Amino acid sequence: MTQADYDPQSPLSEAPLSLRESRPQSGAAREGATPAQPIPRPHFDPRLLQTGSLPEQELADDLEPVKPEAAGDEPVARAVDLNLSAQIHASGLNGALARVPKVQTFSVPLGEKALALPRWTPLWGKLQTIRLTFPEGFEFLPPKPEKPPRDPKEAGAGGARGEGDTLNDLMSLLPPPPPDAPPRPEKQTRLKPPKDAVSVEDRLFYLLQPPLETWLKGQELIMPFEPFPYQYEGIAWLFSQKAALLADEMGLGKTMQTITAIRLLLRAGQVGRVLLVCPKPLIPNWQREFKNWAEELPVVTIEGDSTRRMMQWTMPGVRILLANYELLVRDMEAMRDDPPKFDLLVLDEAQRVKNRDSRTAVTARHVPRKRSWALTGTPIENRPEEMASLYEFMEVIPPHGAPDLRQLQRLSKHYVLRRTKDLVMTDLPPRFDREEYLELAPAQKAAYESAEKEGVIQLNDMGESVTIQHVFELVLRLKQITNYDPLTGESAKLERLEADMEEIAASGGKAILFSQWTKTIDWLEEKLARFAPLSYHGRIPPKQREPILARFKEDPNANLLMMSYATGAVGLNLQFAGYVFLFDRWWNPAVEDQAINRAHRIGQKTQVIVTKFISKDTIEERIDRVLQEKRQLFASVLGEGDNTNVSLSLNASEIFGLFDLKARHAKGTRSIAPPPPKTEET
Amino acid sequence: MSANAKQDPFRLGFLTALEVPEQGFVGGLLVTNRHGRPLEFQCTAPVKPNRTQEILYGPTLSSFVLGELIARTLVDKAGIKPHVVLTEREEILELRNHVPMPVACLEPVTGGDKAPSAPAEGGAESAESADSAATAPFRLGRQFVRFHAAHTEDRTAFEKDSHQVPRDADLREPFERVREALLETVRSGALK
Repeated sequence: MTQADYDPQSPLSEAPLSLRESRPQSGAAREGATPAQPIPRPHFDPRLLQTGSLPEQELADDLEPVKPEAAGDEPVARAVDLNLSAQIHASGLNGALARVPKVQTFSVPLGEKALALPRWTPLWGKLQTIRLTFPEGFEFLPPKPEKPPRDPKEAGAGGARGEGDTLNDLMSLLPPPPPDAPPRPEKQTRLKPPKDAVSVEDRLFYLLQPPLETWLKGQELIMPFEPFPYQYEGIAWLFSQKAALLADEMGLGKTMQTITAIRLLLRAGQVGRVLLVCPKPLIPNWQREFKNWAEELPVVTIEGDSTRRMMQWTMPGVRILLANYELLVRDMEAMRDDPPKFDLLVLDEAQRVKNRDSRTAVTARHVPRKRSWALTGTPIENRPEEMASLYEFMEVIPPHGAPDLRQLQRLSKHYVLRRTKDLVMTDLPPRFDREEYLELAPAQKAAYESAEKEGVIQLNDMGESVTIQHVFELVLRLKQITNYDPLTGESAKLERLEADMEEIAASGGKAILFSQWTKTIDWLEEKLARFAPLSYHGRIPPKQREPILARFKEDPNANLLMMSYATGAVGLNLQFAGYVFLFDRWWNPAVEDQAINRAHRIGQKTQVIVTKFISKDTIEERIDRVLQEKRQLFASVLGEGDNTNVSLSLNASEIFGLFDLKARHAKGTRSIAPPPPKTEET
Repeated sequence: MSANAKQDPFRLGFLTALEVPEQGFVGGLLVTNRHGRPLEFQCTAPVKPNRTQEILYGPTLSSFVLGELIARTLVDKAGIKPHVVLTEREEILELRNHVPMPVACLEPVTGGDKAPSAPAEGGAESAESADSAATAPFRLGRQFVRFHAAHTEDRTAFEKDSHQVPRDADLREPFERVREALLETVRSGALK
């Protein structure tokens, strides 16, 4: 049998002699062996090796694992008589098998290098990166370095504050704030990329700006007061908007939000030249507010003769220009061929451009600029279409575009930010409105009835030729009589006002009074002399106005400020006054609200009591009814889901409706009034 | 501030990385002035180690990818170099072995006003030995930071500039900006 023929598994096969060598069994095999199982046939014959020289026990030890501790016990395996026989067939190779092989040795030199070794190097390739460098921005005042904490000994006795010490110096003396106190309690207002920012660089610019609270907390930019959370949101919104209409209700701080947003834009290098346009009486107000909120910003007011103004418009290095609407129109026309360019144009009291064909609106639209912001507390005074004019200025609709109400509402979501006091100023003291319906004094009543009767007769006599102007003249004459009788000087309103002012003056309070007529204000000034009233209206030269406001604020004996709606209703901060009197009523509730909000605004510490005088059974009561209806409509237009497109103005039909006018003709009489306006389908 | 500081205002680098599922690690470096206003931002394309790299680098992989590959690239390529690099990932401290400026890691939030593992307050030397003081957490702004253990000179060198960081500065906040910017960049597909 050859080695190739040997099959260790076959019971018939016999192992060749050359394979007979002693090998211990593997551990696995040993573990598998049990006394009950037959032991696999070993590949050697113990008897051949035994040949009477070795004791049987030794052979058994060779074959089986003997536990040392079990020495002397019966072995777990027994020797098996294999009795193998070897048969070698004659193959012709037997001689070769018996021949002793020849073995030769020779040395092999070692190679100098390892052959065919696998090679790997850590190649990671070149990393691609994006880099965004932020604009330098403008530094108007070098940031004050924070000094290292001083040795208390150096600070002197008590560490008293010396001259020249700044708030930062004092802060450095305070113990450091507790580190890493989680969670951070402060609200973080982050800038959001505008919707039209498409490129990743543009979006990253906004995302990587610090939270406004960090930016404005007095290290780089000093803020005199901590803004309210909604104001932070307003600032962040303005910062990101190229076209914006900030329509917060009066008194919520549109001025401060605008100034701060401009300040941050300048600081971030996003704008370099800003034009702010406002009504002329508000110029001192804006100057004062810039000084309060952004002391470091140099503001140039456009004023003086035309030569000086031209120099101001074109002066290099000027960052903020302040102009009134009249000068804007006049000077831009003069510079039509080469108008100055701006990064940002802000229109305050932007209702001034509500008529898109007016010279003011046309001029404002033609000022070259990159950003357009409009500020107004009353984006709609009369008709929703007024918004279209504002959107045209903001360049979010094409020239002469006429968006319908749904489109206006859609645009509002992107470009209008409006908050009301009810929404955000839950801690603002309440405003109490009381409508005082007063009986006319006897002589006053007689004068009124006589004037109305005569007036209506005259209008009736005019027949079809009567115009709205004629009706208006009668309304004004009657309204004046409800204020006071020009002949006798009797006035139910004055009596009531005097009674109220006695109490207000006695308690050291301050009141503002609004009237439509400077003539009424002059008359009241004389009658109320004991209260030392101050007057503020269009006939007061602008330079004298600021001292009047300052005196009203500071003089404890100045208890009453009397203003005309036209001059005093917008932009002034009179939150130290707790009483407002509307001596007569304006035609538009939005203007009345603006007037009231001179007092009812941020900073007001006490409740504001608003008294609206209405003479009973007069034209005033009739107008008040119309105003109430207008107020409701105003709210519905700015509210959600309003689908009506009715005109909110006091239309001709309503004005005629104040009187029962009838034209005589052959078959009797006929009402004199234009047809009511058609309601447009939307 | 010294005359030099006036010429070269103090700058902080906020460097971190995050792992984007199926794309790998992206890193970002925001260089700000001492008040946190951004001066420059840079981010990398995602880095995803392959299987061979994972096997051969073993446990050193993340410190290599984050600290050397990503962080070093960002600092080397920065146009505006920070005076100190801050990170919130331990692995990025490895960067210090490859760049000349100090690298410090923000200590985890402890909730107290004591340093996480040493009583050092406001950078004051209060540890027992000079070595342990050099590696002890260091008060910076509202946080504690720790410098690379092998570069004990960093702490001493940085102490003279540390007053330029406002004492109430929240040094964790800029990392939120970096993470947001990284996600925005990945979402935009600008780097692949």
